[in-house]
Amino acid sequence: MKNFIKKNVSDEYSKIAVPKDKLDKALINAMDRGNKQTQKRIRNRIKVPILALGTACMMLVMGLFFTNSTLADLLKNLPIIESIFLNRGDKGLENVYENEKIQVINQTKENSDVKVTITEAYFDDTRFVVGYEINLLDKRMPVDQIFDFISNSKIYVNNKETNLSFGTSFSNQDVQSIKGILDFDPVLNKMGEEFDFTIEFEGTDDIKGDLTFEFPVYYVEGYNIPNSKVTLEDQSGEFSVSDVTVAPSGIKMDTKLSYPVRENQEKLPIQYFISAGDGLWFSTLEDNHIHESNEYFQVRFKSYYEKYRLEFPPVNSGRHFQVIPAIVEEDSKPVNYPIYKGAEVNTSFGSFTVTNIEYRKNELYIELLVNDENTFLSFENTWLLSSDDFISSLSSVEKIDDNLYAFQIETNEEHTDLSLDILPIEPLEKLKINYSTQ
Amino acid sequence: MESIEQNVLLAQQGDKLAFQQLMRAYQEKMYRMAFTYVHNEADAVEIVQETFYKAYISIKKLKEPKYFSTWLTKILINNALIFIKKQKRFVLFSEAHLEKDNPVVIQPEEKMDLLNAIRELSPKYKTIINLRFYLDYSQSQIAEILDIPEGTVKSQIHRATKKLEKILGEDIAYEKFYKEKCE
Repeated sequence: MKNFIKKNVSDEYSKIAVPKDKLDKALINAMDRGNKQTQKRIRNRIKVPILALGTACMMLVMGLFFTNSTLADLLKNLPIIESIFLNRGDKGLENVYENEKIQVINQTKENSDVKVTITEAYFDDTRFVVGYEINLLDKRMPVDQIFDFISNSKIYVNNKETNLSFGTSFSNQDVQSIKGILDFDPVLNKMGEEFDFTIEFEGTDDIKGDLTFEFPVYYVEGYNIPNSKVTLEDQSGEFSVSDVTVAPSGIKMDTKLSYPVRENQEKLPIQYFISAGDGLWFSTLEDNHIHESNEYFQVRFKSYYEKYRLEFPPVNSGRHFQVIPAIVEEDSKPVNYPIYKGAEVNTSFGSFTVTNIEYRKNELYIELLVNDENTFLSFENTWLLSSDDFISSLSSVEKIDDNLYAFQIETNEEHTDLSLDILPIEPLEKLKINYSTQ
Repeated sequence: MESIEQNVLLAQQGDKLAFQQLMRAYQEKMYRMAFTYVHNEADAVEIVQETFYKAYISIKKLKEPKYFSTWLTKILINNALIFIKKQKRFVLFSEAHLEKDNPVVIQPEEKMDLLNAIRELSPKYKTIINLRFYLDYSQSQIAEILDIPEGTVKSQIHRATKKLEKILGEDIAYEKFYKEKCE
């Protein structure tokens, strides 16, 4: 019977006609809704003075670090009024803009099909990013075809062709004009401190190419934190963190295991939390697994890499950040905590009070007050349930005041029996690593 | 598979096109799976759209790109089950309830093929059949998706298969009876 099902189920299911147009529309709708949700969240609750102070602090700190004189000459034209680096939810690039480190390019080339402008570029220890605008002349096209045009390009570094990989992003399904960034990984490609960059759009069947841009790219110096080497011991040997560098677009840390990794040893049961982030995203060198949360930047690594590099955007708290190793057992199960207004939740890693739960229009709003400012909290492994039904991960919780956190989610119904499933985490306080950027 | 993982990494970094490519790679299977729960296009599209949305806002939280497929499937199943629960078209059976024989009503004019037989299953068994035989997941992957022990997966596959066998068997018996009656 099982063989009969296995043999026939695909054929049977293929009879179900797929409405591709409707799914395409559904995808765009879902992404639009996601973008609105992200923008909408509690961000407008965050007190402006706190943000301003944080930004000012960051600018002050970064200003002390980056004193490349060549760059200073280059940056006279700044700031760019409408930088493509902005409004992308990219903390690193926003910080680059705020610190006036963007290199203005503004080169435009066109043929009978398309006008391409390379607007700006930026390069430091963690990122090499190029901003672009593409305007189709007299036609609209699906983004897939425009992406083909972008990806069908040759990249040269110092006149030598290279296979630099890049990511790009833009929205809209059927467009005539798009703006985006090419996001390269300078670490992987070792481009040096200053280089001539060339990108040649070769064109596709749909969009003519033969458009070449060439410009020098200048390195924005980072700040290497002195004496940053920290070694942790576990049962197998040593794990060390070294060469912590703070750059305008992010922070990088090199890590190393002191022992050869056994093939059957997939993971160490340790995650690393880097404090004081704010809506961070990440990139990695090699296949590591790094996750963001709003307050702690969480890292789980596979031990079969002896060396790897962690990269993450600048922390908004300015001068200090911490790396906190914590044990998270692979097979650990979440602990369930009922929540209601006034509930005290005591987890393995800290305690908090539920100060408010209320429904506002179509939203469920939950406020949490951390009882001790030194409490180590991670909402990455926390899930909101209603009568045992999963509602949402709590990872989008936001800090709205010193010890006050808020979480809200769109919902059309009033959930009952709310509870939190929280994965037990044991922070290793004695191994806490403090980095100061001063 | 490598390009899927690369796209996951890009999508986690905010690359919307990579996210779109990922969703398009899986949307047909997602839709067909959703359809088996609701049996109409509009609801199936709604479930898939909700899956797109939840995947979009939470893809950064995906811990390991190689588990993207199971992660997405898990979201889809959750959405489908929540959807049908809200619609009150089905009552989710308790384990005890499932032990009992549920009589299956077969419409005479409807040929009971495999697809229709699966339709008659409870959402729980439907999920198991979808995961094991349509998406071809291993028992350990199914255990991961449904967050149940592998032993339970094995027994549920067995029960779901038996249930299907019974439904199809009844159909065969009915067809035989119907043909004889017509003759």
